[in-house]
Amino acid sequence: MSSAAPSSNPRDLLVSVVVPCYNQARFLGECIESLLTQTHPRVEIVVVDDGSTDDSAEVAQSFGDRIVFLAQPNSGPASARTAGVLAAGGDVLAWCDGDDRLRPDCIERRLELLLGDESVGLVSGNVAFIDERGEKLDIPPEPHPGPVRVGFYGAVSRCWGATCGTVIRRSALEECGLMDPFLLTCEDWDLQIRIARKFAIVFDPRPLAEARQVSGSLSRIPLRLYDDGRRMLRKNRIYADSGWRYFWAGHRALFRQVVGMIFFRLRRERSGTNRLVAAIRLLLARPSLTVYVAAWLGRFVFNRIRRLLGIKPPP
Amino acid sequence: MAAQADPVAVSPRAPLVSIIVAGHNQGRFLRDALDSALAQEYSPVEVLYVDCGSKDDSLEVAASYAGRVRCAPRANLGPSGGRNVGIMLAEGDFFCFLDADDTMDSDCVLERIKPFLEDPEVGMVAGAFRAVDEQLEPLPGERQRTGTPNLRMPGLYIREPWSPTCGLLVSRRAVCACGLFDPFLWRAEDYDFQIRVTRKFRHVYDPVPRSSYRQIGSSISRNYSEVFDSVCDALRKNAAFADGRLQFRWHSFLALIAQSSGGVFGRQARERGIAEVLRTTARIALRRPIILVLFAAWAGRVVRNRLFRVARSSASAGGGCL
Repeated sequence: MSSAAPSSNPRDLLVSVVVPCYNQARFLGECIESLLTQTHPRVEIVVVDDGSTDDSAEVAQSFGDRIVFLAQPNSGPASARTAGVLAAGGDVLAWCDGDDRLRPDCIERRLELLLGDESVGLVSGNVAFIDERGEKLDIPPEPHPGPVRVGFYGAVSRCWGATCGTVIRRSALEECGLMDPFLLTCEDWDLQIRIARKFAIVFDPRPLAEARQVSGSLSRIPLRLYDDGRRMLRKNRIYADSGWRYFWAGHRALFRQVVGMIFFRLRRERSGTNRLVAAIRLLLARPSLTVYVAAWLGRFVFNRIRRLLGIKPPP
Repeated sequence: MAAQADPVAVSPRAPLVSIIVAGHNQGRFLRDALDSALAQEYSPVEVLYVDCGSKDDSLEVAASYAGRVRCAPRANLGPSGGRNVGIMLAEGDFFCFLDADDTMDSDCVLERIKPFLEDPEVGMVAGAFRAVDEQLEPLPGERQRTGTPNLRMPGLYIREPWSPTCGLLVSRRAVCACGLFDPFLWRAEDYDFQIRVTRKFRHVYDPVPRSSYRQIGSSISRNYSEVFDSVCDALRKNAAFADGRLQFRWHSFLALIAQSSGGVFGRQARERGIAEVLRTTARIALRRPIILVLFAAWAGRVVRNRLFRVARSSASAGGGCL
C-alpha cells in the first residue's frame, strides 16, 4: 500500500479494478471473467454491490477469493466506486462497470500510457459498443490518429472517453479527490476536470473496452444529464482562472451532449405531433433549456447562411 | 473505572474506529495528539498518522510509536489530502479525525460512537471543543462553540456553527455516499465536508467539549482573507446542488457574517482596535468588494445588539433577543 512510486517494472504494479454493480447480475459474470483474463499479471478485482435486488451478490461471491466483494445500500455508481477505492490496495485504479467488459490487453496498454510519463494522472479511452447479448453493435468509435494529451480546459471542453477502461494513478486520486457521489451522471467528467488541474489526461483512441448499450441506462436520460452537467460545471467553476473560457468550453460540451440526447429521445416518438409535445414537455421541465434551443437554432441558421454563401466550414 | 461498566466499551462486537491524524510540521505537538488518540477508553481503535511533507521531526516522533501507529508519509497534500489518504488506508467502519496539533479527551470516541449504534441513519457526530493555547491552557477570549444536542438539519447545515475536524466522527457509509474531503480547499474544507454529509445523513451534535483545539498564530485558519475566500468557495460549490436557490443564498450570507467576517471583525476589534479593523477591511475589500456588505451587516448587528441591551436593561425584562 505504498504511494504510487513508479516501479522499475510496470508488470509488478498492482492494478485494482473497481466494478460497481447495480442489478446487472446477468452481465456481471462475463465482466469479471474479462477482468480475470487480463494480460497484466497483477490485477485485483473489487466488486461493489450497490444495493442490487437481483442475485448480483451470489454471482460475485461465486468467484470466491479471486475477487474482493463489498455490499452497500443503493447510493449511485460514484458512491460505489468510492467504496471500492477505499477497499482497494493497488497503486493504480481502473473502472469497469458491472455490465461492461475489458479486452484482455486493455489494462496493459493503458498502463503503458499512464506510466510512460510522470505527469499523466488518468488515461481514458474509446469503447466499442455491444448489445445485451454481447454482440458487437455497428457504432464506429470516434476516429483519432493517436493518443491525445489534454490539460484543464481540454478536460472541460468535453468528457474524454468512457468510464469503463479508465486507469488512474492512486496519487492523482489522493491529490485531486475521488468521484462526487452527488452526481449520478457526468461523474467521470467531473473527476477528469479535477484531475486535469494537477495532472495531464491522456485519451487513448483504441477501443479496448466494450460498453453495453442498455435501454434503461441512467446517462441516456437528457434531463438528468442536463441537471448533473450544469451542477458539475458550476461546482468546478471555482477552480478555473478564466471564468469566461471555462463557461464557453464547458457549456459547449454540455450543449453537444444534451442536444444530441434530446434528438435521440425525440426521434423515438412516432409522429410529428408527439415529437412537438415531447419537446414542449422537456422545455417546461427545464425552462433554461430555451438557451440551448436558441443556440441550436442560431447554429442551424448560421450553417445555412454559410452554405448559401458557399463557404466551407473549418475542419 | 466508569468505562469498565460502559456497555459500549466492553461490547465484543464493537466496530473498529480509525483515528486519522494528519499533520504538517507539527512535530512538537504530535506526541500530545498521538498519546490522546491511543489513550481512548473505547476499543478497538486503530491510529493512522499521515504526514504531509513535514520538514521537522514529525516523522521521527511518529516512528517512535511504531507498532501502535501506522504512519504514511506523503508530499504536502494539504489538510484534506492528508485526511483522504488516511481514509483510503483505514480499515475501520468509522473514521475519527484529529489534527496533529489538537488532542482528544479519553472519552471522545466512546461517547460520540453511541449515536451511530443507536440510530443507523446517523452519518456524522460533531461536537463542541475547547479553544486552547500552545500549552493546552483554555483561552478565555475565544468564543466557545456550543450547540443544541440531537440537531437534525437535513439539507441546510450551513448556518449552524460547524465544528472543527478534531473529534469529528463519520461513518464509512457516509463518506462513501457523500464523498471525501475536497483536496482543493485548504481551508473551510471541514465546513464543505460537513455540509455534504448532512445533506444525506442525520447529524448529531454533542454539546460537551471533548477535544482541545489549539489556536496558534501559524495555524492556517488564522489567515482571514483566505478563510473568507475558502468559505465562499465551499458555499459556491454546494450552492450548485441546493434546491432552494434563494434560501441557500440567504443562509450562506448569514453564515459568512457569522463565520468569517464576524470572527475577523470582532476578534480584531478587540485585539487591535477599530482603526486596524478598518484598515484590514479596506485591504480585503480591494480584492473582494462583497466584504463591505458583510462589514455593514456586522456593524448593523453590533449596533442592534447594543440597542437591545440598552432596551433590555431599561425595561429590565429578559426577552428572546439574540
